[in-house]
Amino acid sequence: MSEFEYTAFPEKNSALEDLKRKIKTKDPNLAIFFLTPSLIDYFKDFSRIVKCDSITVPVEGFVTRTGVWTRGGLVWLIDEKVEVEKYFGGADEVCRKLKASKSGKFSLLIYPTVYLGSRASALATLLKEKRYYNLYKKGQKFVLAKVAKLLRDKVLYPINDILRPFRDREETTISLNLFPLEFKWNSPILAYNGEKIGRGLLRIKFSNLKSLNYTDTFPERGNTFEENLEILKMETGYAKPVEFESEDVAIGYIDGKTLVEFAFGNRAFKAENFVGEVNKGDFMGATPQGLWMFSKKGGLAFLGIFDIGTNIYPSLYNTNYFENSGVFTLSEVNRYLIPEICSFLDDHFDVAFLDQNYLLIYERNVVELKDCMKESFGIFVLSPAASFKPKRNYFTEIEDGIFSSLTRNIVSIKI
Amino acid sequence: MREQIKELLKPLILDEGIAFVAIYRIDGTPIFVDIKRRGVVDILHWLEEQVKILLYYLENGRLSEAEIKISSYRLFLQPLSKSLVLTVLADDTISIYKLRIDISTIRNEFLSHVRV
Repeated sequence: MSEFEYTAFPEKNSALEDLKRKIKTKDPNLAIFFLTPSLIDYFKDFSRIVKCDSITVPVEGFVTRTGVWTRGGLVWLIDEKVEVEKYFGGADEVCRKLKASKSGKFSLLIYPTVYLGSRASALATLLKEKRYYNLYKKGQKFVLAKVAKLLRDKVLYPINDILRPFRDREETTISLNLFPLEFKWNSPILAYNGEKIGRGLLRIKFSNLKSLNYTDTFPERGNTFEENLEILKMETGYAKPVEFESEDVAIGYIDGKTLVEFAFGNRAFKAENFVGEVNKGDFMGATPQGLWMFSKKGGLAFLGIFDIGTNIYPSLYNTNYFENSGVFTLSEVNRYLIPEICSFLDDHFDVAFLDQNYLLIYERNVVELKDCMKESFGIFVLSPAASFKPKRNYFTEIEDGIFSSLTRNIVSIKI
Repeated sequence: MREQIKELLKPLILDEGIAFVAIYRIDGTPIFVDIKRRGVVDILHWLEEQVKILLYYLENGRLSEAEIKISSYRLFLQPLSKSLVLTVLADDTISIYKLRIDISTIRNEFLSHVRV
């Protein structure tokens, strides 16, 4: 049994009181608080209102049957048997530990795909990247591997590497890749029992999963690059084939330019501007421009291009599983998907994970999503990646049974 | 009635970045007002005539809603029904697209409680 309660109050004390008053389940096994930016800093206070293990997750908003709220928070009280595991360290260490972990029926992974540490550590990483780029532009391509190691150790968890251990043992898994719309230092804030996780990963192991429904809202992928290019042109309006150099999670030149120069030209930032934007809280974690990368299996992953001032660009995927030809587009979504989302979501789910970019793309029209929530709830996060046995040739299937995170993904589960 | 309206508008009233929330009758009469900062009274006084003109345009259907940017504030006018208009004054710390979404949800909740 699951109970969901929500508050739309953006002020800490009122929100806490409201949730305390509404919660009915006496002894849940786990409480997951999905908190919007105005409340996430008070994760400790929220963890104290339940007498069980708790997780607090930063989200951009949620859907109830009466509307969409970008203020307040939603709590999911789980009565089923669940176990929570914590993983810390660099990407390689976390992947190794996940591989050695025990299998479950279904896992929900929650982690910051990109973790912005302190200002000082970000500046140090940017400085190292600058040094490596000086070597790269002199033709020393081996430095891409060094930047990749730096990124894996300090900044990001590659989505496909994280999911691979689960795919290998055929464990259905969803990964919530936290990536806030408004970036701050030492964010995103994920916490377990009132303790900040920082750069780490939480795995919630469920002993039961009644159903998982997934769609990427794309037609089935084609068999050749040309077929998939045609699909992309139809779906995004503009698609320019490109060649790029990469190693693991580091992307070098794309058609002879850095990725940021390629996308932004002379308007591109310097690294110092990026740091300044984050300082002011003005850096937006959303972009329409991006690189579609074709995996060796033929599936696609979308990498949003942000003006972060680096020359060697971080990839959210290990690109060693991808071809070096891709497609540059100016938008990831260019049609009205809300009716499609509503027709996909049937009445039989507890919670649906929807991409936070819908809030920006559809603004107030996103409120129409309330019509597909009867007794269920939707949560706006970066659209989840997943691992499961597919029934069709999904566009997003980048490796056997591993699906990339795409704004157009819709995932719903019933526990 | 006033308590019910206050409860409905609480997600906005409790937001530090929102200086003023009100519901006006379409003839310009306020039926609910919550002012968080005294400093905005001057702005509101200045705006009164402008708001009346906007309400007139909203009433005769020439505008479906309105937003005005004034120095570091943004004023939203969103009809709740044929006779009532929600007015919100937000400062520049507020995400405008998120506020538009929440105002739409409040409008839906209002309509579900009130026979228009």
